[in-house]
Amino acid sequence: MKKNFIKPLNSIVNTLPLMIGIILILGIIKEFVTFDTIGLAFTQNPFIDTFIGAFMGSIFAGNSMNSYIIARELQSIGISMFAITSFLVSWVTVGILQAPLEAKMFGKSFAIKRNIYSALMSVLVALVTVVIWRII
Amino acid sequence: MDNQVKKVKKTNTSLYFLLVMVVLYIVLWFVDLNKTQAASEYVFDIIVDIAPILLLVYVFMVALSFLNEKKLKKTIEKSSSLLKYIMMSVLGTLSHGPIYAWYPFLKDLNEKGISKGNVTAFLYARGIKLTLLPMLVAFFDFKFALVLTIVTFLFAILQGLLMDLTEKE
Repeated sequence: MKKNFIKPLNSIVNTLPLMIGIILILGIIKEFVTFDTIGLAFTQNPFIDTFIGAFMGSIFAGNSMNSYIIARELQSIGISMFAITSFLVSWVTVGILQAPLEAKMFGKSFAIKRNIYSALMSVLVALVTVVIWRII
Repeated sequence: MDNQVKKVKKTNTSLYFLLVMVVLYIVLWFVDLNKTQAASEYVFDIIVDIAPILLLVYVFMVALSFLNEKKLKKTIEKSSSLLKYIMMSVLGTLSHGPIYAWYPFLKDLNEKGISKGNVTAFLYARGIKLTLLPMLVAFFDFKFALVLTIVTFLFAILQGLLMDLTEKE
């Protein structure tokens, strides 16, 4: 019973150093680089930006909370929700870092296919999600 | 034991990273005081924004930790084909902790006849972070969080089906 309360607390506490570190980076980016510079990576074409977002999310890894924080900043500089959504989805569904272990457990072909499918599907999920979100 | 070693290493790396960032702020303080002060205020604002959300995330995590995973595993093994994709997606959605901790469990299920497509559905549905829903709602909005959650869940099933069509057991 005690474990049910302590384990989640430890889990959050363990993520804090990295999370605060990322927030500190965001502070530097905002004042010294500006988010507009990061925005240059995007083209303002929602379709292409969705792929760029998916690519960025695929190469990053870590706690999803950090992806939410970064995504919020991207939104504040006007990056399209398509790109932001594909970034959020690929961050959590594509696991390049875990791929070697995944390959060891389920086979190389499985790990490669799963990660490629996940990256491509993050684009589709973004398109479907944002379209529905705007309609309803 | 192995997982514990990995966890300690990960925590140490995170702490080093945080330390590097703090040192960087100290250096920047001498380079440009005004900008560093503005950056620090910005960091403080984000932390103040996030703190209550983290509390809510904790409540969600505690609630989910009471889930009986063993019972759920038995139910999945007995389910019909399509239901297995759905059940595995549900389990993936409810699962928490590092992904590698789930690999032995999934391997075990796979050896007991659960297809690799079902495993895929589980892994994709892990993209749904129920415990972080308060944060997603606070940063974007409830409608967006809800639609994203439902669409991701449906795509987890779809990806499972696609994997079973293209990957041999």
